[in-house]
Formats: sequence, C-alpha cells, structure tokens
Amino acid sequence: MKAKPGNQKSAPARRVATQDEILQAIEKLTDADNERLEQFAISRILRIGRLAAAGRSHDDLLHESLISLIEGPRYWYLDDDVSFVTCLLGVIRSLSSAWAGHRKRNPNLPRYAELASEGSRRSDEGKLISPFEKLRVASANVEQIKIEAEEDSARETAAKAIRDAVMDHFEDDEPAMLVLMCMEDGKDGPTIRAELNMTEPQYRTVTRRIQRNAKKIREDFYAR
Amino acid sequence: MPDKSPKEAERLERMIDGLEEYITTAPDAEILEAAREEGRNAAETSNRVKGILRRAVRSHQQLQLMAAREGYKRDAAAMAAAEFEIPKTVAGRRELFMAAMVQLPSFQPAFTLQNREFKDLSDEDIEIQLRKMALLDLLSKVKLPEKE
Repeated sequence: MKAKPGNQKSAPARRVATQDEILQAIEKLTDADNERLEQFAISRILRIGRLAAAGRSHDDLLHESLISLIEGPRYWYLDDDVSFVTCLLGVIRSLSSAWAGHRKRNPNLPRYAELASEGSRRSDEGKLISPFEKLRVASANVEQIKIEAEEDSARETAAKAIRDAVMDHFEDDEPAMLVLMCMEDGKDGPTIRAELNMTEPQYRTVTRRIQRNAKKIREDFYAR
Repeated sequence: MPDKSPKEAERLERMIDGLEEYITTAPDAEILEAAREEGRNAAETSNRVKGILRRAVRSHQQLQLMAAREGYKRDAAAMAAAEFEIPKTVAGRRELFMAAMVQLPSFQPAFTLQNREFKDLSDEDIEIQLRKMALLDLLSKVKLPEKE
C-alpha cells in the first residue's frame, strides 16, 4: 500500500526478525506446522511444473524461502502479528510464483536452473535482486513466441489430463464433485460452504478427501 | 468471437487454489490426521523440515562469515601495504597498543566489548589495530611509559 502524501513521517519502522529470532521460531515449529509447510511446498512445486521448477524440489523451495526471509526481499516483521509459519507459507507461495513467472517470461533462457540465492546479486544500494526479477526479456522474438506457444499448449494439455483424472476419480462422489466445481469457479471455502449448505467439518472432510487423491494424481502424472 | 470460457490450466489453478487454502487453514489436528492417513510420520517430517530450515540459516551465516573474513583480509592487506613507524617487536607493539588504550580512552569500549580483556587480542590483531591508528595519525600522540 502506498503511503499517503504528508503521512510518511508518522509510519513507524517495522522491526524485522533477526537470524536468532528466526532460529528460535524454527525450533518452536510444531509437527502440524512442519507438515503444513512440507505439503504446501510439495503442492507449489507440482503446481508450477517441472519446467519452472527446473530440477528444484520442494526441499529446495523451503530452503530458498528461508534464505529469502533472511536476506530479503521478503521479511518477517515482528510487529505485524503474523506467525512465523504463516509468513513462511507466504514466502513459499510468492517465491514459487516468481519461479513460474520467470519461466513464463524467459522460456529459452538457461539461467533459470540455478537457485535464487546463488544467482542473486546486490544493487548499488545493497538491495538483494533476485535473478528471477532481473532477467525479464524486454521484447520477445519470433522463436520465443513459438516456444511460449508450445509451452502454453503443453501446459493446457497437462492441465486437462490432470483435471480429467481428478474429475473421473470423484465421478461417483457427489459432494466432492460439487466442491470441485465451486473451486474451479474460483470460490473460496466460506462461499462454497454457504452455497452447498455444508458445515465447516463436512466441507473440510470432503476437501481433505479431494486433497489426498488430487495430490496423488498430480504426483503420478509428473512422475511419468 | 474470442473464446471466453476458462482454459483448462486456469480451471486447474483455481482447483489447486482451493486445495492449498485447505492446507494453509485446516486445524492442526486435521493436518496431522491427514498425514497419518497418508502413512507419513509427523515426527519424521518435523525433523526433516526443521533440518532444512536450520541448514538454510547456517549456510547463510557461513556466507556472512566468509564475507567478513574476506573484508578482514582486505583490511589487513591494505594496512600491510602502507608504511608506518611501529615497533618491530611483538612486545614493543603490545606495549604501544596498551599505551594507546590508556591515552586514547575513546577507543577502549570497542576493544573491551569485543575482546573482554586485551590479552585476548592476538599479536596480528594488535599490529593491525596499530596500523589503523597510525593511518589515522593517532599514534603520534601516544607516549610510551618510561622504563625504570
């Protein structure tokens, strides 16, 4: 959010967590936190696909997200009342999106294969610049457009195959099909529950069933 | 007329959005129950994830340490390249350094904080610090104690 003119002086500086505070937060992570972090990282890697991940695993995503939290440009602000796990989940989301975005913008550049922390450099002001932010190609040439079109087509084919497999799996499971269709329309949990007249536990039970099977279908697809 | 129906990739993205929302918001007990159902050991996952995160912090700290060492080496090389009149013996340099600490008290807090006692400073540290002081033309004001 942009600061309002004349209002800049009143905003107090937010305190960024130190490395020691981050280490303490790591030690305090519960089994559920760690399970959540790993499952989310796995989902993000499956989601962006092998090309964007470029050989990086969900472990690499966790590692790079933590580095990004220490070095920037993403930070854990202690005054924001956001838990460490919530903050890290946000970093995992934005970093994997950056990998996907970079791959989409630069389909034929070889440098996407390195880890962000290895390819990062500092600006003259000392700000860390991710290689995924600096390698944007200003004008696409014909070959790039062709590669992009081929990748778009491959992405569509893969998405159709995965979606069809998920839908086929839940063909005889009406609650799951209804939830899936609502999700496809971009509706969030509370909206879906209200629309389908489901209680929160009912909705979560169905979603957990979908999550478990959809994950397996996605893993099997990319393992081929 | 352009096709306005959502593409397959967009549909799948939205579906995954919904499933990721579940991962990030489900109560802890359910997350652990889902792990058990899928045959995962939550304690093992915890050790593995914490290990990855700890290693990330350590690898970053090692890089910082290496950068600091490089800076120290650069400082030392720059000091060594310059010509200063400082005592030739280790004992002489230590004596001058101690005299400087007494006669230039504004320097003391930095050294006492870092080294607690001056005896913790190595001979090389003392030479580097003397060269830094010489570079700032501070040593000309320091007088060595008279020998009895």
